[in-house]
Amino acid sequence: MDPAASPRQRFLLVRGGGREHLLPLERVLRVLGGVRLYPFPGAPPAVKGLAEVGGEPLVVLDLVRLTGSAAGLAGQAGVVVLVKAGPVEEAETVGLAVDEALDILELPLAEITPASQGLVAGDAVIAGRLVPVLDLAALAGEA
Amino acid sequence: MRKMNALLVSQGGLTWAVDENEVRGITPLGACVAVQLQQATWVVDEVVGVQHDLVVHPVGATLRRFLPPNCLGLALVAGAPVALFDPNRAASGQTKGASHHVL
Repeated sequence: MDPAASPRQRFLLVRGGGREHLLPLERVLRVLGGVRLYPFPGAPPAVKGLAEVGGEPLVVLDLVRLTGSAAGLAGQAGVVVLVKAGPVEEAETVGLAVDEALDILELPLAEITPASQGLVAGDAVIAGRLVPVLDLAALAGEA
Repeated sequence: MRKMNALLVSQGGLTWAVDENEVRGITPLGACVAVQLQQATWVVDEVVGVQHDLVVHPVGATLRRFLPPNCLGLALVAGAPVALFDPNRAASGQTKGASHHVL
């Protein structure tokens, strides 16, 4: 399909653990800096901690550990991206701790190579770099 | 969301809440505190206080995958997150290496 004629989708480009990832923008609620994280002993390693955001408790997940990119740095979260995770009809708000949010990109879906590896729904080429596209619905099956 | 009166304790750097109806007593245990629940004794770092009408936020299927099995839900006290302790999980014992100790 001609990429110009392909449906397009917007993504938030983030970096965590030295790797970039694309998050579907329709799933992104807010990007927050300076979020205080509280340790959560006994939680799975993918949990960075708990936080308070907007008067509600929030579970903050470590994107680096979720994607297996590299070891996460305990107690550090450059920014927290609030996303709707899980199946659309049962989506829950969680935080994703990343180093930084870089950009919002609109990509032709035809340029995303499908892949199905855990959270990774596909790969896109951004400025010559292969960037995983994350499927936040699949968070329901990750821990 | 539901409300409950809860005993607040500190364990491993996090504040936990347990339904005060489950609490039978509190006794010092060395540098820790033993909280007697209906079916088990829960050893924690310290007792923080009591919170009336604690609003408990339930967790759905996605979030539950990321919580310890002994966590029933989440709440806020004075702007800080609190995990709700499941006394029934305490009764069945804790796995080796868990951050909670049940006698």
